[in-house]
Amino acid sequence: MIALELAGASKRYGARRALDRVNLVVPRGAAVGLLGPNGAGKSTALRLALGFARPSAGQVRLRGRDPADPAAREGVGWLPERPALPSRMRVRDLLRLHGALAGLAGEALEGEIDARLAQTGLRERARERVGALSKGLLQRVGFAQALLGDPEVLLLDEPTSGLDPLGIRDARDWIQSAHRRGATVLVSSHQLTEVERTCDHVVILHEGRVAASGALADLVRAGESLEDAYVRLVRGDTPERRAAGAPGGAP
Amino acid sequence: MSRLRAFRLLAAEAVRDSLRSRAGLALGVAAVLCLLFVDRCSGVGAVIQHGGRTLDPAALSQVLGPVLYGLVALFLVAAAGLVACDVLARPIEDGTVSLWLARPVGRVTYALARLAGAVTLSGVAGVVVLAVATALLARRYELDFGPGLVGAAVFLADAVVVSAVAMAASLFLPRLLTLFLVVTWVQLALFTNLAHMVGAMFGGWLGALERWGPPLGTALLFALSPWVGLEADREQALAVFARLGVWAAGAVALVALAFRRLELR
Repeated sequence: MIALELAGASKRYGARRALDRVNLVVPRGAAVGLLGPNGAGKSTALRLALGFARPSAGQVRLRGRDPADPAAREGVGWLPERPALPSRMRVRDLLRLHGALAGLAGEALEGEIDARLAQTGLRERARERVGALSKGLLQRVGFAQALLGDPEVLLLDEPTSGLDPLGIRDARDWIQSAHRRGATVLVSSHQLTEVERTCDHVVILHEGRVAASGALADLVRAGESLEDAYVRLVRGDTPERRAAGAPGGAP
Repeated sequence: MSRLRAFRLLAAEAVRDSLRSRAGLALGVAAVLCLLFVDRCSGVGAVIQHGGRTLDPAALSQVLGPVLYGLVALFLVAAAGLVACDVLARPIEDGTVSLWLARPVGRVTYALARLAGAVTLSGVAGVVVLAVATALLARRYELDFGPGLVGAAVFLADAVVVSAVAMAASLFLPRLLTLFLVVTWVQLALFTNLAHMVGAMFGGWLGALERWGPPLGTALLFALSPWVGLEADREQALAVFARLGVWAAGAVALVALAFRRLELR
């Protein structure tokens, strides 16, 4: 089964082509890292996946359906980059509404909220207004809402943004534990180390196109880190080019 | 997740959101000011003379009662439009809309829930003010309750029209421009409606606005006609109320369709 599929998906914003005939398949239960430089089209791909924007060409299917269909988003957890949360709501009220919209109710809803507050270290902050929280705590609230109801598909845009080293380790644990219980995870990130630790497949976007995709083990050569492989695949950067002082090579 | 449940949850949150924001406070202040206005203006005990003749207090009440009620109702309609300018535009601007729409919630459900929340808040404030105003006018001018209640229903329909159009405009226009256009549009509609009732004829786009636009003022005048002592043509009144209903339905459909087609960044 396929959790998410972009088939020849293109997206234009005026004259700018944000995505160009992208083919991307995320099988159910996979953990896929979506990598690429700024402006490569990672966030656009996630917006198409959630139905926030329509592709200019091609098709997008989320859980086998058009993402514009609300049923496609059942069992989907979404963490946007720098999550914009309603600042006047209290943390618990925010989670309660998200949980209710995710289909939870009654004691199951309250129990799930307690579990996510405890998991993300927000139990003491439950009654605080979202607007009073620091950037790192906001990211934790974002994670708590995304993880509500054990979603079967988890879409995360820069999930470790704004987190301190302890927070980054916690976020990694949450992602890994969601993946272990069977959730499909798609992580868009600049943090190559985190992607390396949490994902088994990567898709590298460059200038709106898929520059490379596949299992981590297949993309990373012997003796290479993911960062080396990423630079090689995006820039065509090689040790030989670096030795020759080619522009754009690593220092 | 049924659409109805999602609608209910989001509409309730929209009401709470408006109450937490400055819009709720502004509406509360506007409501109190309206009541003070009606109380002070209807509490005047002066004897008015014109051309050496003392005006009949009953004749005065036929003018002053509906004028006070109408001014308050139309001010509250404009206030409802101003509140609605932010209801859909703000969550889009600050990005919070994406979290709600990542849930199994349809665009139309979300837009209608936000509209319902806004209209509930301004509607409750308006109906309370108009009910108290009706009670004051009934006691002081011995006017019937009926027209006041029909007027409150017309106010609700007006508020739906203006709120929905304001929300739809706010999806495409900057906030200040939307506010300006909503206020201008409501004033023009009222001006053409009221001027037409006293016999003025318009051509061009003003004529089109009077003939085909939302009968915000005309419907209110028909509702209050028993207070003024006018014998309204029943068929004409029904046609005006039907046109207001069509505008309300059309405006709701407009905001739903506009939001459905909107691309979120």
